[in-house]
Amino acid sequence: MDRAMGGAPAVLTGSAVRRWVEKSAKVLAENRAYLTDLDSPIGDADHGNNMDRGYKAVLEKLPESDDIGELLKAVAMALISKVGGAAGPLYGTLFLQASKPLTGVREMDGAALAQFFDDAVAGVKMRGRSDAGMKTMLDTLIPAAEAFRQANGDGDDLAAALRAAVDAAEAGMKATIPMRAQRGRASYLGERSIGHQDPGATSSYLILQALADVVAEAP
Amino acid sequence: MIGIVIVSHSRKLSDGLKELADAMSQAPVPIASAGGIDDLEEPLGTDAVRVLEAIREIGNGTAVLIFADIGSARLNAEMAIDLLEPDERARTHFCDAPLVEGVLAAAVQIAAGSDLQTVLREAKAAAQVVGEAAGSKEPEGLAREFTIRNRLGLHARPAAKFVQAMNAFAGDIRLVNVTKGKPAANAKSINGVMLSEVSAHDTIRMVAPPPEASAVFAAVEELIATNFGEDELAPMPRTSASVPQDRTITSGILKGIPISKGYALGSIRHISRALPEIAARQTADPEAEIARFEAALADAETELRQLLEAEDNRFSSYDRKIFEAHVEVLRDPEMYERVLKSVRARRICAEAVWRDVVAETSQTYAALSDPLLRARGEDVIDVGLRVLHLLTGTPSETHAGQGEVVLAFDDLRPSDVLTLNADNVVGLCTVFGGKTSHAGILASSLKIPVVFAVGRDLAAVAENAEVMVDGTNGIVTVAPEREAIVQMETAQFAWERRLAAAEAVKKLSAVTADGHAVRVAANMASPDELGAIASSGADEIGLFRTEFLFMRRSAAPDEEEQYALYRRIVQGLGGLPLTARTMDIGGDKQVAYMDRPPEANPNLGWRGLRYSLDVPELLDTQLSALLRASAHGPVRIMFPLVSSLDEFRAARHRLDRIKERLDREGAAFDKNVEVGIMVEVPAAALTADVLAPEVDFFSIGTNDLTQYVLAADRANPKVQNLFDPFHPAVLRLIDRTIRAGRDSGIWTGMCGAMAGNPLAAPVLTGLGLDEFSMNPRDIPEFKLIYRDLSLADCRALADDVLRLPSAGAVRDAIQSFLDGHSVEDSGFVGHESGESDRIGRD
Ligand SMILES: Nc1ncnc2c1ncn2[C@@H]1O[C@H](COP(=O)(O)OP(=O)(O)O)[C@@H](O)[C@H]1O
Ligand SMILES: [Mg+2]
Repeated sequence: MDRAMGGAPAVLTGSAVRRWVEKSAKVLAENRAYLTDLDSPIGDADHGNNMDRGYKAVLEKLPESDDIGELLKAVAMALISKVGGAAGPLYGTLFLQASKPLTGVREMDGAALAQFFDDAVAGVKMRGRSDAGMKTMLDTLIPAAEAFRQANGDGDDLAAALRAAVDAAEAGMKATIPMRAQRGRASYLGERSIGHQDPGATSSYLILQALADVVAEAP
Repeated sequence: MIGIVIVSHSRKLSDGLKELADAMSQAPVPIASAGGIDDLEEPLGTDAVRVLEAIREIGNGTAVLIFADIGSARLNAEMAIDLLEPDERARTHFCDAPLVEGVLAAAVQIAAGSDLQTVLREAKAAAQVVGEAAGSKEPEGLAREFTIRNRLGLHARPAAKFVQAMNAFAGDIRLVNVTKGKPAANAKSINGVMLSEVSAHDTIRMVAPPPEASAVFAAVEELIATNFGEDELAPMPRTSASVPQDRTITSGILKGIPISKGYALGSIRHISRALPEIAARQTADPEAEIARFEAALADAETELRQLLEAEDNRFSSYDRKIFEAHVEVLRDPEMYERVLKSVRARRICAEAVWRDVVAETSQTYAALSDPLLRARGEDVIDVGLRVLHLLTGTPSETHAGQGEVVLAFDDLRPSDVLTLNADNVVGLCTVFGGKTSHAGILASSLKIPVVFAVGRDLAAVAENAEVMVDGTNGIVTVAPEREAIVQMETAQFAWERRLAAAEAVKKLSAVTADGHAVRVAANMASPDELGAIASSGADEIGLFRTEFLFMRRSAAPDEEEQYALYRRIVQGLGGLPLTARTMDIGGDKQVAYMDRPPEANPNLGWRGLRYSLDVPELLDTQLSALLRASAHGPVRIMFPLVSSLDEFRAARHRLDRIKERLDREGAAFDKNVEVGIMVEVPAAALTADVLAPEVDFFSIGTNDLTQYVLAADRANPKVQNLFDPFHPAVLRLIDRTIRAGRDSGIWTGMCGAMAGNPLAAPVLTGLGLDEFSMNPRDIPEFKLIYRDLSLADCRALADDVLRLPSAGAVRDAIQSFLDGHSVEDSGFVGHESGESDRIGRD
């Protein structure tokens, strides 16, 4: 991995993407019960199982390639077919949309990653017919994408920009607590969805944090 | 042809819906089921890739409609559409319609050859009401009326057939259900036809444009003549017994089925479910009327709650639901709003308005074909009458009047029994009705005599005539003679004394005067009986017949369904052991879907354990479900109709294998479940000493044992005099079985009708029987009788009777034994009619 002055990587390589996926799988497995608990008061208590099952399938299907587009597409297809709940098509579309411009790309710089986040957000919005403030994963993803673009524009290196993105993601995730759900199963509860953190927003946060960690720990 | 893809969270649901749609469409429509996900533990969910494959499987260049159930199913369906190639995508449509109705409507329309637009429109309209779909103005064209005679009416397959036939004609064709007063519906639309609720014997009017009319009418005639391809015609409607009869009965004896024991004398009152006519009284103060109405609703609810609490433990959770349904009617916002509106607008009294609202609402339900909804219409009437009586200040018929009354119903409903709380009602009788109906089971626990199925003559008995109800023998006497009344009063006096004494001892254990204790158990054939069992004083369930689970349905219940039910029962028993007998299908109990060959001698045929071992999947499923239920409370497993040790070993082997599997899977179950056998084949009784070392208990089934030992078919009236469990041959086999059990240190019970017969108690006690399992109704009396016995005397009696030459001699010996013994002259044993020995099956 190329290094900028401070020793942090300047680009995200295909092998780093693979490590991100592996790390995500590990973190989601560790947080399986937590995510499912979050999904019980306002959903059907399966989000942790869904994500864990999905990422386990991803690990099996992940190609040995360094082609980021190919990797992300494999992630998308495995999630689409294995997650089962709403999160399947949503995360599937996220990765699928974001993978499209990356076919044949083996490393991404800050600008490419900013584009990646924007595409990811657009994919979820399209699939879910949803937007910020509806108590969904978008409440994590949108501020994260914006924070990343900002930090990258300010000249931060990849690791620092991802830190900023994760901080924004965390704030966004917590901000879902007082929201009233307007999409997904939680929306059936109306007012009663208030006061609970959204499970999808939480899994998105964990996945982003896995990316930041992988880049920070990069060899 | 247009194809359909069904996307559901549940694979079972999508498969089942495909099956239903296949059955309803006359021409094969390509339908793919894409439900569930590939996860054995959590199979609920949707999988976009599976949907994608389903689209490709049936697509093949033609249009595809996708139907989805809830939330993420739609997301995944849309995901799948996005994953298609552009040309495929252009032919694929997501159809936003209610899943079941939408798929069925689409399938029928596709089979009828409709174009894409029509199919989409019909599918989307699937949940709308007929009036909206068709416009309610009287249609124009030539009209003719027809009467529908097939069993299903225009539902399901016949409706589909009808729609397909109508689609062959041009122009606007309408159907009007004249009988039910439905608005005109589009006869080419499956929804229009189904929502017209045409059932057997309804008259429909067909309206068609003049050029097509005669061909349309001919087609309808043809469909009716060929019964829409159904086999059966509907039976003629049963005319209600409460319609005025042309004759009146003023004296005589009527026979029915005894449901609840006891005697009563009272004047007969016929209960009609008709709403009374009420004159609309003008009022100057509608708000005061509304206040009165609200107070009546509140009072009615208080009444219901008091009923529920008063007899608390008599009601099972199922029964409680009946009350809940009634309370729901009281709280129905629509009926409430309509009353308020109408009282204000018309300024008339609340009772007149309420009567009309109740009448209309119940008619709407009564017109539906779903039996549950129809029953709801009856609830509305029941509750409507209750409120009406409160509003008018007249007592309800069932609470009515002075003096002791006997109520006569056409057909008793469970709610009639549950809401019966008038002290002056001394007896019940019905025109129709069976012992094993839910109402029958409930009524059998009443403290007043009940006789069912007295027949049409009952309805002809003059109102207020004096009748005597003998619930012990199932007899209703109209205008009884003085002498008969005196006789009855004597019997009743003794009976009531016995009853009170029996009630007092039923919760105690059955112990003889000299201190010998036995277990008294209940036989159970359906979970409906749990309430009655709980209050009977039973120490355990000695025989749980599981056949009911398999009967009257189209496929065997799977393990989960069985497990859920067994668990509910075990939990409902609160620690009392449950002896579950594996299913005994065959003999006189047949099950359609098992597709068994007819047998010349079914009782000597392929039934009980023999059948189970030959079709082991059914047995394994049941054993596994029973074992899992044993994690929630004590369960015993019992095999029926065992004739040799090999059979038992084979069954035990299967059980052990299932235990191993459950162990591997980490499922919870009681590793020490007792496993026993029914001793009902003479061979088993004769070799009881060989069987005893390998089983945990015996349970003697006297009904089958008797018919096999005496070669007397218990269902053949010509040999009924021979069918008698008191025959010394039967008693000797019982003796042999109990001895063999005792030698091997196991207990022996009895679950045939003999166990509950008080005449048998001393002999069986003398022979050493450990457990008596009977109809829960008989338990209090049994426990009472038992207290007067002495083990030492019973042993001597048993020794004597084994050597007697005939059943008659045995009965006489026991009777004189009891006569010499009985502290109290109850006349009770004298009333033992032998009926319970002879009818029914172990
Ligand atoms: N329309 C939507 N747009 C964006 N996110 C959504 C939408 N619907 C659901 N979600 C997200 O999906 C999460 C639930 O996922 P999951 O539990 O796997 O699916 P399901 O609700 O089908 O059980 C929610 O917490 C929410 O973040
Ligand atoms: Mg969920």
